[in-house]
Amino acid sequence: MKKNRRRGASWRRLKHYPATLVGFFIVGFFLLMAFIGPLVAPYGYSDQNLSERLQPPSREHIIGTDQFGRDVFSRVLVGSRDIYLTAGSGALLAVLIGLAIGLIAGYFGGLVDEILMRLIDVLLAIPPLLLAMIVLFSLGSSRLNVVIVVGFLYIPMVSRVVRSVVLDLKTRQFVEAAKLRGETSLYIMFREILPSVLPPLAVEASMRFSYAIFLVASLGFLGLGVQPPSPDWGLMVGEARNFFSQAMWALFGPAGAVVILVVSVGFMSDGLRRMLLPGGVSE
Amino acid sequence: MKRTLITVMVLLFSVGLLWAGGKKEESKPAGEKTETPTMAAKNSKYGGTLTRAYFAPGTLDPAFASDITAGEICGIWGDYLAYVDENLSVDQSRSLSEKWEFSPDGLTWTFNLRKGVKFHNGQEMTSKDVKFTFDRLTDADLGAATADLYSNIKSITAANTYKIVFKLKQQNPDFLSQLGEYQSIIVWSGTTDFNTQHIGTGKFMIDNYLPEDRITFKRNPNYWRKDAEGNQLPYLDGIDYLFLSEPSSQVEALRGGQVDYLIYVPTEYISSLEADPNTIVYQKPSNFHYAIRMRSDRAPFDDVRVRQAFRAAVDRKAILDGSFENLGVTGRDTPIGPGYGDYYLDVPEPKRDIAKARRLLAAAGYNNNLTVALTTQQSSAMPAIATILKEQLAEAGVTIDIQLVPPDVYYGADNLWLKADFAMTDWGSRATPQSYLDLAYTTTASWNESHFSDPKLDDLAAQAAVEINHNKRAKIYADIQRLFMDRGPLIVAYFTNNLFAATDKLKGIKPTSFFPTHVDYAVMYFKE
Repeated sequence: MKKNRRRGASWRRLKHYPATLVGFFIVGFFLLMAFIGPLVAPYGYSDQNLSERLQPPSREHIIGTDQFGRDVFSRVLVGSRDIYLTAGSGALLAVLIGLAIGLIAGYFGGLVDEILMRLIDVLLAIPPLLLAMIVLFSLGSSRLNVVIVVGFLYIPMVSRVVRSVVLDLKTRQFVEAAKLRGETSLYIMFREILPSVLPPLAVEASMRFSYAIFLVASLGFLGLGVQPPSPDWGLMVGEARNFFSQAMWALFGPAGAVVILVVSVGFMSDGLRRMLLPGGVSE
Repeated sequence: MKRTLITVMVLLFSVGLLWAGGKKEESKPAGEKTETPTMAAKNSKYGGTLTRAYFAPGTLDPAFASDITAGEICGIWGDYLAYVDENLSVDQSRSLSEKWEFSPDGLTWTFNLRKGVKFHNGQEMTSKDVKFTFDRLTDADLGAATADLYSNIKSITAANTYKIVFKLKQQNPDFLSQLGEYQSIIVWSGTTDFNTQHIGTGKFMIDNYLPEDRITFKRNPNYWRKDAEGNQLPYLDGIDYLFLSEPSSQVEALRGGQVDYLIYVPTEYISSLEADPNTIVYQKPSNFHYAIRMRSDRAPFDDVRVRQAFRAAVDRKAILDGSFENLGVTGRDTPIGPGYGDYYLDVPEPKRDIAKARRLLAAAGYNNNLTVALTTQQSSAMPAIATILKEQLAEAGVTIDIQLVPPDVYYGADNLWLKADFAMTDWGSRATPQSYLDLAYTTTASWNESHFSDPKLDDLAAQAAVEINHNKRAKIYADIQRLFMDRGPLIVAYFTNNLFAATDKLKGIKPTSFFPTHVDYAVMYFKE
């Protein structure tokens, strides 16, 4: 009961933060497009019309056409599926593995903590884009590998956040009580500690998602992990770059989508923090 | 904190995109060139230093020149025994040999050298230097690719100071053109180290070489060529060659006035450069083409009907428009292009026929169920060609999976280009049609990437290789092209125009059909 009332209060408070509402709305819109994009897009994402190349925005093509006469708006809509799937799965992978590492390191402490955290430090020391490029060049650039790379790269951040929360929680009385009851470590970690880790983890996950969108778009821009005619936003920016002087809309369409989505996820994660961590866990 | 970070990242990304897309606005301030023709008198062509930008050469040793920058540099400090001109014929007036003749059996070629031609060190060029040059190029122990190219040479003899005799193993109508390959500049016979000594007879001398940065040339004051009025060439005081590999940066440097002259200008910049009053675009049809080749020794392309169906499904003009801004000539699915004059078989462009393609595919046992990967280099127009081809073949019920790979992977250790079933290879504009056949399409050709084997083609190619009579040879080439159109392993959507761009102050540019690096710098000059 108490919990519900708290959540209700959070939702009400949100009304005072229009940016957060906008963030939720836009993230929701693109999420919807990820499911129904191909159905509502005015044109097929790979339909070419070579007699209508590089047309400026018009009523038929609201963000104009690209160098193959494809409708940029339709491609942006359909492309949201790619970005959600790739960035979302990558972020999810990072959250799951990071959570496990953070729980174990924080709960057991000592040598286990030391070893895990130093390994994480090594991972942190490598420039993310460089690591991504090396891995994709050596493993081959497929969508699955991009997901793995994104997941791998964001493990350190997630596990550090989880670990810091666990370090605080494990000295609390309810954990001590569970230990005295003779519960197993696994039980304590998952049944006692995990529920309290979830709110900060959700906020962290949304942060990772926005970073992942960015990284996936950057890799697409470099032509890694995508093959034409995929409507990947990064790839679209990369292809449109050459035609910028003739058709800037073909670049601004997908680039704008990346910017809007990343900012919206940022707003959304800000709102999540207000809702889930009302005491204000400072970063 | 994190939100600030994200905002900063977003801003950086947007700024980065803008910068990557169009840095043209900011180029104005650097516009004033320092070395434009200050020295040139009003009505004189002399003076000025030309600035050129392209990627860095792999080596300065002519025998090992394999990239086209290295080739271009050879042509600046060296001259050829026989000069291949802008129309792919041999121009005697620009050759170091002033007269040549061959014996009735076509096996003995005698070259009379120009007298009084001086190397950069003041020594006169003689038959000794020519022999030295070709002995090195044909030396199997040296390991240069030219040993293959000149394997037909049996012996080289210096008959006297100004006369040199080549004996061939078999007739070769393209022998003169081969002497104009860029590795074959005549070098001074006293050269001991080709990485540091570059003593040729060319129009400019190497002044300073900073690897990966630039190479500068100064005028050869004793150059042997004169213009029509008898003025000594070259006109320019020197050439600054900057190593700048990114095409968009090259174009911006030209717009900003830091660079005077470019080649292989990407097509997407052509219209804006043409609109710019300070730059001029030059074009010349070439034989550069993207060979979309089908591996014909295994399924599905071992069935000739599949190859014919693919050709029938292609709209070549649409590919030329969509991927190369219509700056070329549509192809006929053969490697021999209109740049070769009489050797080119001028037949109407094949009409796109989807019904025929479907019929042929059905006969070969495919009904909307053929899926092929198209291995494509991530470079120049090739991804665009693949993207259009995919849509065109989809209408015939064929699914194409585009596999983009970087060029160094395509030509790398795995030799994807020789192995893939369906792939796209960029072929430069060569001096003779014969070289394509011998390199890539006869059964035993070392770069037979399509694994094509047709006894009739092997026979015709062997005949053309030794046929001295021009008309008879043209007839053989016509038969070869018909064979390609009927059952060959290729789709050639188009031959590109060589694209050059220069500041409007630079005059005397003669665009060529050969490698665009093979231009005559001796006759270029600045004029306000």
